[in-house]
Amino acid sequence: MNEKDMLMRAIKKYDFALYELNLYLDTHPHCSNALAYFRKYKDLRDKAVEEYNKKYGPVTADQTNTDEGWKWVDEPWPWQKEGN
Amino acid sequence: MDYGYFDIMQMNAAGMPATEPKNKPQRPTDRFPAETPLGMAYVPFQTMNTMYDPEEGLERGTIYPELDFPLQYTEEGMP
Repeated sequence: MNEKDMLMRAIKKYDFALYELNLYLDTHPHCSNALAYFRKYKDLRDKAVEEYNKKYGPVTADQTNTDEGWKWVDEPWPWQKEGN
Repeated sequence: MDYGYFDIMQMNAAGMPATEPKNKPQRPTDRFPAETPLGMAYVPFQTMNTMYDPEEGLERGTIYPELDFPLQYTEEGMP
């Protein structure tokens, strides 16, 4: 796995953990343990996304760095072979 | 005698009910607070114990070991 894939894998696993914690926190909003984990994984995820954006561009369109214009359309589209 | 959900949950590794079935089947409500109403669905409330780390969680499809029920049994047999 090259670095790009590893970064994407990190983003995916932290996103998933955050989503799982979200489900738990919906029914246990005051659980300090869950909130601590949420903060921890959110921080890790944001760092991974930031690094991915810096090196490989946006993961989602809203992360596009518009200084270079709408680079989002230059990325391969999901249905294109190199897009997945 | 067919084993209900609660009996299975209490079965030990040998697949036998943990406690010898008394002459009258254990009322499921024994596992719930006394004031649990009859005739209503009740989902036991989850408490946070250990959690899988994110990598393993993504593999297993959950970060909560208690909720890790693979549909087909893995090689190690019953989950």
